[in-house]
Amino acid sequence: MNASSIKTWHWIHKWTSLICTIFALLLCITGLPLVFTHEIDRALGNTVAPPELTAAEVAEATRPRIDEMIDDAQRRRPGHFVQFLSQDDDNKYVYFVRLGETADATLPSAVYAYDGRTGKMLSEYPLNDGVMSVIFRLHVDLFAGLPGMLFLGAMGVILVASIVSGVVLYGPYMRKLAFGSVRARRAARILWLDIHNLLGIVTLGWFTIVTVTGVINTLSGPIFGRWQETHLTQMLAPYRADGAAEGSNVNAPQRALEAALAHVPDSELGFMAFPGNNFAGPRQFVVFLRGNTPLREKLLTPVLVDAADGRVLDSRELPAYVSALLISQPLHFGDYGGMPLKVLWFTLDLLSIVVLGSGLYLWLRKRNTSIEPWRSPLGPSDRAAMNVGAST
Amino acid sequence: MNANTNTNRTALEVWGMPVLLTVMSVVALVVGLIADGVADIVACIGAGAPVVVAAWHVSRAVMRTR
Repeated sequence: MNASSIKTWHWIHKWTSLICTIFALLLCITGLPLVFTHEIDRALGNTVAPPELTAAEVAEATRPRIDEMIDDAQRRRPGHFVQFLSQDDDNKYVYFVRLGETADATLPSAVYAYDGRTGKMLSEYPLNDGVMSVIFRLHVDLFAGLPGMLFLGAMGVILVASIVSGVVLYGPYMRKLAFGSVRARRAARILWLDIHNLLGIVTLGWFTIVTVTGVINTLSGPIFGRWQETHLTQMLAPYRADGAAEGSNVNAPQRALEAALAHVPDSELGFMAFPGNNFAGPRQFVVFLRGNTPLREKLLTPVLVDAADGRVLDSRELPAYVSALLISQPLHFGDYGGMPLKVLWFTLDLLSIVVLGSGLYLWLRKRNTSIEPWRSPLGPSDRAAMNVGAST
Repeated sequence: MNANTNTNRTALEVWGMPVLLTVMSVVALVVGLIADGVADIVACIGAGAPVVVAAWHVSRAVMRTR
């Protein structure tokens, strides 16, 4: 690579990094506790483990008590609407019921966890309070909704450009150095340059995956919006004339779920949208089933079920762009390999913070050394000596 | 191994380890996603290798300065 193209790549690396580093640092730092969301929720009592059942209770628990859970949730919030029922992917006995002030409200008014075997409520999930929810919003949308998400997505795209330009520059920087050289006895700037290069290049695979999947996640709103406008609208087209149901949107959810499960072999509940919700029809449930193999369990199959008689009306595979989103999520969260993978996610995140921090430090140092001779009242020879010192 | 020499390094010397570690970690993370059990251990080893390599080189440098 010749000197002028190195210079160009340097310029790209500097400017893409300057634009996104502060946001990338924010994302990496807030990401640290988010890796352990599940554990922190458990420790704070936001979620509880389902209790051990007696032999008699186990014998009685032949199928999940969906209707009882939904009735209970409805009683706790009169006038509110059940929006979603979902099953915890870590513990198949645990179900979550989400309610909203309207059936299609963007924000939930309550989320209850239930023990599916007994139909008893386990805990109410606290909404929008506590430090974890602040961390979550900072990580996801900067408290700015969709524009905030898309902004962070754009920062992610710029971060990819910064990573790529960094990799291109790694070659010329390492031309005379062995892999892993860390010149600890030299000036601080040299030491941190080596650490920046070493940690940057070893975390390349992970950091790129997490950045790209993070960008895809920022598009989840538009991606599901597109699915609703196309696939869901097509599935509901024959029933459009029926209009919305009167009164409660709760109509034998257990029957609907069982019909959907019978329709798609080897599947289990991912989540289920209740009538009136954007993910369902005005009088129809949409049950999103996941497969029961490691890969298939990340993907969903939507099944449209008539709320009035529990009949399966339609079922269509999700389009590739939705599946891409669903596959991206675990690759971003690192929640698919148990505790060891989470610890690794945390560690790699820490290394990435060092890469970002050292990059910022190197830029600040370089900037100061070039400004210093102009500002300081030193003579020309002193200035030359300083510049030599700064550039070795 | 001398850290700093005046001779240019070959492409293999410069890019061997970076390519190996990157391919290893990406393949391992994807394998862990599409299979369970042993695959999760593979995922941890593959994605953990970069951490071990980095820790090794940084700690060696710290030792040398003492």
